[in-house]
Amino acid sequence: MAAGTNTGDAAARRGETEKAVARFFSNRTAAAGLIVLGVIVIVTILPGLVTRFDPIGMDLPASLQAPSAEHPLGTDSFGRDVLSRVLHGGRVSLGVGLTARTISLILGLLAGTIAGYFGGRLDNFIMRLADITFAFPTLLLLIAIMAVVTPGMGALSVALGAVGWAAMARLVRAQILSIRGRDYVQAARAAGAGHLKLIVRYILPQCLSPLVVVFTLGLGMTIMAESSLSFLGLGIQPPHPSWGGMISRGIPFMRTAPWLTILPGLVLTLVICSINLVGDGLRDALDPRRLVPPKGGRK
Amino acid sequence: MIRRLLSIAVSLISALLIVSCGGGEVSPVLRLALQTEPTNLDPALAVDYSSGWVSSLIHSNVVRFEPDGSIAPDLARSWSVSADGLEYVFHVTGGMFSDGRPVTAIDVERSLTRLVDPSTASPRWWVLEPVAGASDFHAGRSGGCSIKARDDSTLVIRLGSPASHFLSLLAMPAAGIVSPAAADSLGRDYGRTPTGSGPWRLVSWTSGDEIVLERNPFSCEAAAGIPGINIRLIPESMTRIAEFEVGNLDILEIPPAELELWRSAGVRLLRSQELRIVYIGLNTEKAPFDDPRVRRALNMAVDIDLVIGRLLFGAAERATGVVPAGLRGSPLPGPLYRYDPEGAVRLLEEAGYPDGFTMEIWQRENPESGRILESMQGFLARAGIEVKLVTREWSAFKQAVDMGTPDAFYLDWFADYPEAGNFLVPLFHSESRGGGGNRAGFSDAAVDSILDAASAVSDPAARWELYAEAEGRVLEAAPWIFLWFPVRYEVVSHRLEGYEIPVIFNGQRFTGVSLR
Repeated sequence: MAAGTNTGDAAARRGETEKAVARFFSNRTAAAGLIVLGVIVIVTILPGLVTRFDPIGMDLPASLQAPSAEHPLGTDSFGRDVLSRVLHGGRVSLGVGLTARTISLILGLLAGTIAGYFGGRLDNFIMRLADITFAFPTLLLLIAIMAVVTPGMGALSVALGAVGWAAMARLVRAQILSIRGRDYVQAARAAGAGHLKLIVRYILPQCLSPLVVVFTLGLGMTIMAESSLSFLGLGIQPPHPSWGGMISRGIPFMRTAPWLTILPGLVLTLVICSINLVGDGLRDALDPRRLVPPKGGRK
Repeated sequence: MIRRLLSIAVSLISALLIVSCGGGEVSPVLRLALQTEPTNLDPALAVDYSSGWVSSLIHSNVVRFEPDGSIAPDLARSWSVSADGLEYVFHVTGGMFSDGRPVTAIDVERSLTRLVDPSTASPRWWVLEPVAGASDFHAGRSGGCSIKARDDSTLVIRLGSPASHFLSLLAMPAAGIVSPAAADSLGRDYGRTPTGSGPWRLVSWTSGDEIVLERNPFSCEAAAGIPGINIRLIPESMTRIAEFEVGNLDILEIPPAELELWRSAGVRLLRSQELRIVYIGLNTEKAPFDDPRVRRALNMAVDIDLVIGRLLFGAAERATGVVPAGLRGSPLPGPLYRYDPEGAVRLLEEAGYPDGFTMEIWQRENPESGRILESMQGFLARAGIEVKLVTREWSAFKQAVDMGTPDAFYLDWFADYPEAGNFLVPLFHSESRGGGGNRAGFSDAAVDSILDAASAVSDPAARWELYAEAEGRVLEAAPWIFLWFPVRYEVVSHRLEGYEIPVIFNGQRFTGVSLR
């Protein structure tokens, strides 16, 4: 790492950020991913831009209409506009995904920092806890959690966030282990900085780049997990729309009204692909030497 | 997704295998599919649909159901009933267990006694409850009941009181005759390796995959057409459809969503109105559902005809009564409750709920019920009732519903035997409250006494009069949201002949079918 960033010099850091942005946009696939994602995020936040239909109210006589000028993506078996449901469902998926990732980030940051910085028995304890979390297949663990609690957006976000903490914690710990012995940290400590100041001011900023990358890449996985749970009926509950739920409810109509399944599936694929492209682009841009340790790696 | 890819891969591989074997010959056995795997093939312990269905192919009964629901001789070639309706004498001859031993009246006595025996712990022992002394025997107060073999070929059963439907009870899967020798030596393992005297015997049962039956070589009943039945376990409806379309299945039930597609393809569909009613039970012991006005309002708030048309694609007949058309002595009445959202709101106001209320409707995991309840949720929302749908796995669902926990629940009831009483008594008699079938907790002294009176009447027309009166009172009291009687559509392969959809689920034993 360049000495300028290590000392936290503002101007130098700004220069680094500009360089990273430039590197990101020179990566065409990443830029395309960001544009697609951006468009989807805007229309899901403001569905009124595209459709005027209520995603929940039923209109049974209008059920199972093929895509038309009035309903560009057709209607479902209750006569609800599929486009409107895809957009509102996206709001749920993206919202749950972001919330869950944020929860994971906070939990992981706390656990990883404590483990990495203080070390010793606490480190051992936290990391064994992480091992235990890793030992469970994520989706099975999620299914078990969601089968016990009352399903809904809040429960879903917390459950998805809770199972994602271990990967974050390992990453943060690994970063801190490699940073805490550095000369500038020693210098700061010698100058009388307390634990909190050392961590917040001198150590954590160094973890930022890999965290952003892992946060983004994990977002795709989290949205996928949310959709899987909703597909299984354990996530977002009807009548509220969610992509996974729409896909699972469309299956009986796969051959009579394929748009019910294909279109939400397509949007889901698009979103996850573009999130992954953005994540890859971020990794390349933020860390040209690819110093990010592999997921789950120690030291 | 992965499963679908896998199934494509698997079918490609199997296609290659078939080609490489140089075959191309269609298998001579009947190929069927089951949605759920049986849990236990022991007649005494088979409670779910799949278990009872397979068990009925392997075991014969004293008497059996024909596909049309009528009673036919099975192990008993003939029988007589005493004038007071209490003593049944069966002449048991000709049956052969699949291990080559003949079925004697003594075997039948031991097998039926085993069903009631408390040490068997059969959940279906009640099938023989009308037998004199059965309740005491089951409760452990005596060492047996009035099922006696007079000699090798004569079986005498005495009832405690006349029961006009007793022969139907004997035709139920639970009353299947097991080989007492096999049942004694195998104990709990019998359910996995049964020995019956039915037309088919079990060759292999691979969990999650397939059950293979072959003709019982000693039974003369299966001599017709086919050497065996392969029953594949395919939970996914779309997979079953695909398997049928590539010619790997001989019978397919068409899901309602696909009806139009198959109709327009010009395929001949078999149609049968099931002896089954689908309903939303309302917990009549819990406020606000203890108020009949609220329950009536709920019936008026949902447009059932529209739901049948749009969500079931017409594959149901509206339940304007509770006894399906096939078991009635008179036509179904006109609908007592018409779709009238304003009327429903007025009725709710009158009952003291001008702002509506919040309620839970419980369902078991099942995509179709989810779709239907979502529509109910929409209709009830318009009447100011906020519905929360609660989905539980079957055993948790059943336990909660039997205990009366939920406000309301989506459930169906299908006939064990074709009798109007098999709907009205378990579903609405106050003594059947809870697990007995009356899960709405409905209790009406008048209905109870009418039903009690009816079960003692042996003349069918007079009995129906009473049943119709009880049905009318039940409709008036509205312990349910009355939904519909499902209609089942099936399609069969070109090579299958002589098949018809049975009225009772164990009424088709595939002895009369043949493969071209």
